[in-house]
Amino acid sequence: MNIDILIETLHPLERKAIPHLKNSKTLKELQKNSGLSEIEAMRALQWLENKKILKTTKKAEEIYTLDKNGENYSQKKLPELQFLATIKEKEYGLNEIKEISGLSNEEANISIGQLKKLSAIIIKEGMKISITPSGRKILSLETPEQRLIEKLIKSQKKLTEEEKKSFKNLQKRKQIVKEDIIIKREIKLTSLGKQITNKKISSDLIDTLTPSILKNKSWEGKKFRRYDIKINVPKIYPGKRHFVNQAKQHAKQIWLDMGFEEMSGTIINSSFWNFDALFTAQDHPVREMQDTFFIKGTSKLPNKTLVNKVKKQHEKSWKYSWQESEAKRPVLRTHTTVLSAQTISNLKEKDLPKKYFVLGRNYRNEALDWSHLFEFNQTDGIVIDPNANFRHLLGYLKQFFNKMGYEKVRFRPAYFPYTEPSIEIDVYVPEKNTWVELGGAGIFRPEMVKPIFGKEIPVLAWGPGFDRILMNYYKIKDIRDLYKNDLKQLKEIKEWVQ
Amino acid sequence: MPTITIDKKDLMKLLGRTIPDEKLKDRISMLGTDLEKVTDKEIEVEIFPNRPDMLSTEGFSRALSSFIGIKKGLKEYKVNKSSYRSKKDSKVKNVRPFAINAVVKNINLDDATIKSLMQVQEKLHASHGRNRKKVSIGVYDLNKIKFPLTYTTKPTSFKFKPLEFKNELSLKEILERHPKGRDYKETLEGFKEYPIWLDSTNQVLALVPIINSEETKVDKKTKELFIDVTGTDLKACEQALNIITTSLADRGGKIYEVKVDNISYPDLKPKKLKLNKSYVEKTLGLKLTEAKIKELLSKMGISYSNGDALIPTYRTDILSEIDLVEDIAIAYGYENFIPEIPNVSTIAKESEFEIFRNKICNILANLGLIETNTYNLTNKKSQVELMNLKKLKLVEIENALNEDYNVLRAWMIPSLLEVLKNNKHYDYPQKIFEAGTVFTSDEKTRLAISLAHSKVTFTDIKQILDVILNSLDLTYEIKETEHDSFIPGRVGRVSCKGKEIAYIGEIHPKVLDNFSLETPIAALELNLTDLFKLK
Repeated sequence: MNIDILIETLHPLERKAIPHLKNSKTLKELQKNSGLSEIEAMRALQWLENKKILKTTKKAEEIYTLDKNGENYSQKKLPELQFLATIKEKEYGLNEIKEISGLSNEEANISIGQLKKLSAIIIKEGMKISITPSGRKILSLETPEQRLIEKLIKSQKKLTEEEKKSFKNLQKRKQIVKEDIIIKREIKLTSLGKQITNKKISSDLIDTLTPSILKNKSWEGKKFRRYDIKINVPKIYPGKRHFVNQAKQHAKQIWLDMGFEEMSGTIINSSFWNFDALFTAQDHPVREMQDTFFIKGTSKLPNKTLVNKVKKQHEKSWKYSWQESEAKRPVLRTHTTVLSAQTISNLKEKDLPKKYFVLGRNYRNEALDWSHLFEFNQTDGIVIDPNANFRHLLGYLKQFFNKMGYEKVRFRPAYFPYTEPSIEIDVYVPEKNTWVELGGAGIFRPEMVKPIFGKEIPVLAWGPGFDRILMNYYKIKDIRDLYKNDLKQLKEIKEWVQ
Repeated sequence: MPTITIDKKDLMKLLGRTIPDEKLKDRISMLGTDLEKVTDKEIEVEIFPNRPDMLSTEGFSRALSSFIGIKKGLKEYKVNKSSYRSKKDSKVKNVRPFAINAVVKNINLDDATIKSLMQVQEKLHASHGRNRKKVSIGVYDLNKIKFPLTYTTKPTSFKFKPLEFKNELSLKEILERHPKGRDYKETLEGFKEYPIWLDSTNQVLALVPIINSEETKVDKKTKELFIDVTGTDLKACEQALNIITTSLADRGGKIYEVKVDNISYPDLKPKKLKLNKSYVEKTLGLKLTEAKIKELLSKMGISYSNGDALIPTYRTDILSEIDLVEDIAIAYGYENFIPEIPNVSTIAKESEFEIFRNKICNILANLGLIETNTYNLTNKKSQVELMNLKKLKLVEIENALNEDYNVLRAWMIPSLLEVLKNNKHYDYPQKIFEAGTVFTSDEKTRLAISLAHSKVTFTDIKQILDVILNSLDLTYEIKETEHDSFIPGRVGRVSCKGKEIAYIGEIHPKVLDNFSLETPIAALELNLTDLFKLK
């Protein structure tokens, strides 16, 4: 970059720093010379370094200095010396010594230990402590430790071998000395930097364009500071719809595009609608407690005629005595197919053909783990058309899954109590090189349709799960992550784009 | 759904042919079963509950054999006449009313046969038999019993020697001490006398449906079997007996009748069902000749001519014509159907409420809020106690998984506070919303909004309420109210056109503390279902 243009990109802080770079070898010096605060100076250096105007190097330096107690002892002398001074003239008991000298218990005890080692005291009968000749010598000459403490009043970078030994001794004692590591930032101008420091740095650039600059037209004839437009900026996030709802909206649009009408209804339903109306015998294992969530209380049944027709069909086909009480047990719907049954029961023949869909939450009594949720999404669809056939069923499904982003769709035989023929839908997931099972479909059995619609008519029906599609798209491995409501995930997850 | 394990060598022997793994995999899944696993020695197949006949290796092999064209067509089984007789005592009527029998001779009980027999019995008991409650099966050494037999009941003090026990136990003791007794004692709960099979010398065959006697047990030397099936559903019993006897016959066994109260069992005569060609064609969207229908049905083990289908008795799933249509579709091959979108004109229609809900949610996202998605299932502690409330009527789950998820939520704000609690480690502000179902006396959709940051106040949340209602061109009133989840003097009840539709306010510090939240929160809960009607 041209050096003049480079100069135009300089931030006001950098401008302030540059004239002082020549005679500032360290961050500290720069602060002092330029009057910038530490943070300002640091930022200026960082940016200048990014522009290759200078290089900074960090140097760690050890420095020996006094700690809290050491500062105290630099004036009052180490406790052992205070101790000795107390008994210089006269022997005393320990308590008297403490009283006279003002030493704490801890200090007095340390002193005794230290002084005994140096044979500076002897303890006589009656626990009187008296000074020895070598004690007197120590008192007059002072200890090397004391000398070091006095030296450390001004922090030292280097110590002699002897001093280092004393330092180690003192380090063992409580908060007398300490070794600090100081990081020094050294500044070195690059050749570019040297050129720039020789240039005149004009301070007449416009930094932020303000309304007053516009108003008085003071920008005329001036230059604007150039920005580094490649620099990273702090992240911001948009408000967002939940990704599961985004995907549901997309799927909904596909059904709408194909001419389907949306169904809606409640989550709590009678067993009648959830099972009986769907030709599921009352002793069918799916109706047991371990599969379905039951709600306390009883549900209302629809009109008697309808109930009776369903009852008769069950008793005729499954050969058992159908119980109204069992049909009245409320459940959390185990499939949105409930809505399909209800929709059919409200239809008249003259309304046909009709196509319906729903995308909704369902429930199964299942412990949470990486592949199971007790709340799950399903998309149900029905086509009630006197001329509908099995190939149409495959056609609608293939179209839907193609539009959901799956190029290859496969159908296999399956079993559901209320469809015949029944199919299982698989889609091919190229990233995993495998077929993934998405759920069931079929043509509703005449035994199911006749009681609730009044006559036999082909009803194409499907209810594949939706969560697995979401997991494939968002590359989520643990199904619980669909609903963990982690705000970082919600903010950063990709949009549903198809 | 039940899964069976099949010895590959045994299967190939029954098929009379070796089939490579790839073909097995493909054909099994297109037959209407699900191949779970293939190893060198075994295959594991998931059998759909409508095909209990495939729960035995023999039945599975029979279906596969005709499907892949080895032995097509209806397989007929002969039931030989005999003088074996048994009778039912009227006492069984209220305990376990149905009992039927059969005899199979010329049996070679090699390992494969025993394994298959045990497996089909166990799988039939579990699924078809509803854990022996509806149907149970017993197998005995024919030569250890003397006809005629009696199916009756005995008091719980009655004693006999159960299988694998050296001593006699009373019926009561069997239920308490025998492993099978403990497993299945519920089936006899509440009865004074328990069902028993006795032979003409008063020797016990079994305590039904729990355990056989040691004296009549089948061993390596057994060549002839007596089979009993009892239960609460005669049709289901007959199906089980048919499945067992035909499976044994597939290994060379000869079936003999047993007359139970003068009715001969098993009845293996194929059942006739009318089949209308045009119904098949219309349902499947195919053009088929009579000959083609005949060929396709023969692949499913069914014979067909001139509109009549003959169905083997073990095919218990065939209830009506439509079941034959499915068999034809399977034989045709689902992979061979050409999917088609018919030219049928219908008008698309999105639910008006859903359009409304979506618009409101989009407004909030446009204001920079993040939409969450929480479960409807929650717990009382979160809904009531943590919210500083004394009580709240909640819809309870009768058979909850655990205490964390045992009620349906009655309001939304607690769900959002849970979310905020779990996101405390991220930067603020955290502004979230969700439109979800709440369960009170009925189901409604409510929108909850929670704004969390250090400087949040009532003003912030009221501004959002304002945006929503203004964009719907609705005016509203806020009345001061009391609500223990909010700070007194900073909580209001919002109404539109005289209808109360929302609570709005600053969350009470006690509630924040209960959720371990250290940031103030202003929140709103708005009834979208009611608002929709007002707009």
